[in-house]
Amino acid sequence: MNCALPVLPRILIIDDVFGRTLGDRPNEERADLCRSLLLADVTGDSSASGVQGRIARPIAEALFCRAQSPVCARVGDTVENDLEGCLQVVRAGWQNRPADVPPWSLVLLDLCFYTGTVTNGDPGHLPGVPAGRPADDQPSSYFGLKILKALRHEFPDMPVVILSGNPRSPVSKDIDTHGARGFIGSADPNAVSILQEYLDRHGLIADESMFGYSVPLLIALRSARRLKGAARNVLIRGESGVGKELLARYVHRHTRRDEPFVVVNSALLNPNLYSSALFGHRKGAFTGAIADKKGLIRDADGGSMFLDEVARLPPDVQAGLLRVLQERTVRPEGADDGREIAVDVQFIFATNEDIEGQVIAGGFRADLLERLRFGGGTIVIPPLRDRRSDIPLLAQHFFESAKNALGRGSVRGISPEALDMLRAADWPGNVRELEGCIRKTVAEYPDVEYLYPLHFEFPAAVRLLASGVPVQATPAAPTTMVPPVTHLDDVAAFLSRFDFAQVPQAELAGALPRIQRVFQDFAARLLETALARTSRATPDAPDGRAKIHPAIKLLKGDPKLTASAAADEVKRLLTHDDVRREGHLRDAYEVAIRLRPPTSRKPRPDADPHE
Amino acid sequence: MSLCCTHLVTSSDLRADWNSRRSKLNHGWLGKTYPAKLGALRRVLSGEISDSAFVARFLRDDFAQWARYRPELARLIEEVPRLLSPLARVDAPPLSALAQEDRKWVGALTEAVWSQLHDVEGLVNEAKRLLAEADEIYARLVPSIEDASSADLEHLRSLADHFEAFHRVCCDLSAVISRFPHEVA
Repeated sequence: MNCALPVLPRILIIDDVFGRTLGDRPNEERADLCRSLLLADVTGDSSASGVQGRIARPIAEALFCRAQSPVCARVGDTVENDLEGCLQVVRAGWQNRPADVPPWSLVLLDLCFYTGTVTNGDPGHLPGVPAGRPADDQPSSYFGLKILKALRHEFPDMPVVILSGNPRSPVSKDIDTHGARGFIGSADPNAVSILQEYLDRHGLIADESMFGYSVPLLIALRSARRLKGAARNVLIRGESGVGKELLARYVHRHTRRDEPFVVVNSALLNPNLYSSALFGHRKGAFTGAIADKKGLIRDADGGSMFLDEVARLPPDVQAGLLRVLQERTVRPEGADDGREIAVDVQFIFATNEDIEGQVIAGGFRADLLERLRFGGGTIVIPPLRDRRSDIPLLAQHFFESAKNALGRGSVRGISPEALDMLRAADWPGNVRELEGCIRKTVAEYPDVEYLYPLHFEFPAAVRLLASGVPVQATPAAPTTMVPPVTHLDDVAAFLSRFDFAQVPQAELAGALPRIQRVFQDFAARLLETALARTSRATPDAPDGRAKIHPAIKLLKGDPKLTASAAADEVKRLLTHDDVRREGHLRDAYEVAIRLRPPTSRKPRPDADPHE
Repeated sequence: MSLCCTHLVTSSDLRADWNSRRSKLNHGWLGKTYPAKLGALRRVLSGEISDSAFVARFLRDDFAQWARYRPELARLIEEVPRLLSPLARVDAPPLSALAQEDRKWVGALTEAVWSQLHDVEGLVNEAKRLLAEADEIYARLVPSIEDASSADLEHLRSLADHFEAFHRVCCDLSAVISRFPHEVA
């Protein structure tokens, strides 16, 4: 396995003209596109022209897919669209790829795909392009839209951008609602800079400083890049050992690259001197203050300050920091003249703690938390167990580094069995723990040729998740850090990514009714929220009266929904258990039963249609 | 089959044929493969790519595609008012049942509303203006590159602004042709 990360993003281009193979001939149209957009063609077919060697600095690697069969059609052949074949190519570079191959950074998708008999030489037709059928160039039936829908359904995290010579306007709504991140007109003279911008903003791009190609990690890196020009404060959340400082440095590189980067670990500073270290002091401010001191915030002026373990800030420092965030000025300790010094600092905070819980417990200021969370952006770094596919790559990287540091011995590699075992462990201490484990093993066994499972001694808390068998007797400490999930899309994305293959057999027993109950409760709470949001106070119900019709219309997004259809929906969403609850849910169920009694299909004639 | 029905089928077919020709010529060639060639040349001239074989092919074959497909583009633009107009609908049922005099004013009114709604005249004029502008730049470039070889990059670089202008005009022209209505609405 190659443990050096390729730095070029990898793009998949789905296009009938650029994706076709022309037997032994190079596909000149594809080569022109690659030259025009500065792409290195890595398709590997006979039509890849080899222009990449002549591009001084390609911006990405491109693999082309025709999405039609046959891929190589001759004059007289009939070409048909091939959705499944296209999806197989996409899958091969997404979930079925080897650990050392990055996923598609971006998919560029054409709209119009011509089918039918392949023509040649006619002035209106390009050589080798099918004659086309009437529906091919009708915007409502573009094959590209079908592909887009399928990609959105199967790969919700995959960023797709339309690249087409067809205009955007007739399909603008369709491409937006089916999740395309943008549109590049093929003719646009600025196409290369637009592509570069889309790669930066939407692309899933690996970085040498944060080893790994897993989608959750690349999404975190993308979130960091998106802060450019947008945020002054950033809150990085993630368990201990996931690489929060590395991500902070990545944020800094993408926002204030050439300016100072100052690191402060709140847990390591002397609590008595914290204020002075951060905000500076004047000579004589306290015993021992023998000279003026600028303070770390002013050291970071123009650049970034990384404040780790922010949840452990002493209360007086929290107050001072809040003022800095609000006013963008610093007042050194002992500055009795009240003079404030203006600073321009990007604050990058990090925590692995339940900071919201600390606010409730009174240990952390709510107004400061609001500033941290909403003054900029929040980035969540996934724990190692959620990016398990990166473990072999990381292990290999740490192995090479440990071997080089050792400078002796004959150890040549980690055996596949050991890599499987490392991959199966849950690593509550995350990347740092994995690194420590590998360094220790290399140091202990420098003279074996390969490291096998027997050579590894796992830290006490590590468990083998896939089998459920603890490596050591001590169970893993439960983590208290729960990243806040505030958008339904996040829930949907999490569920669609959940990997059942990692669930131990024992956990599957009785799983269905348990999951059904969770979903039933989730739906009931969703309905409860909609009922609360749409309820109106009346004289006989000052707290609001449940109105199922507007609530269900809101949830279904269907303004034409009838009252009886709303009642049916409420009956479907609620179970007998929900009805036992008090409040809106109970009222809603009673209204629904009144409108659509179980014995009759018709609503009562006197039913209020606005209920 | 009545004469009216035959006429209806024919005008509808012509419209479909026009749309299909537009799709292939404008979205396929002018909006897709030709600008890729022009974009590739710009990258070579800016020094981001070194590819003398491409330059030779561009000078020999690719650039001249404009001269080859330009008449078809001009015809496409000229045909817009005649082929896309809803006027022909008046001759088809149910409007064909109207008295001749009524058909006349209904047809004129429909066409006026359609033309106003899509700014057909404005689009046609804009397309013709861009076509003429592209022709002019092309005509200026052709003699300048006639004797140029792929090795003569310095000479080609002196023409970079003209190639860039030509690229932009082609892009604008493609965008205007895209804005002609797809359907009679």
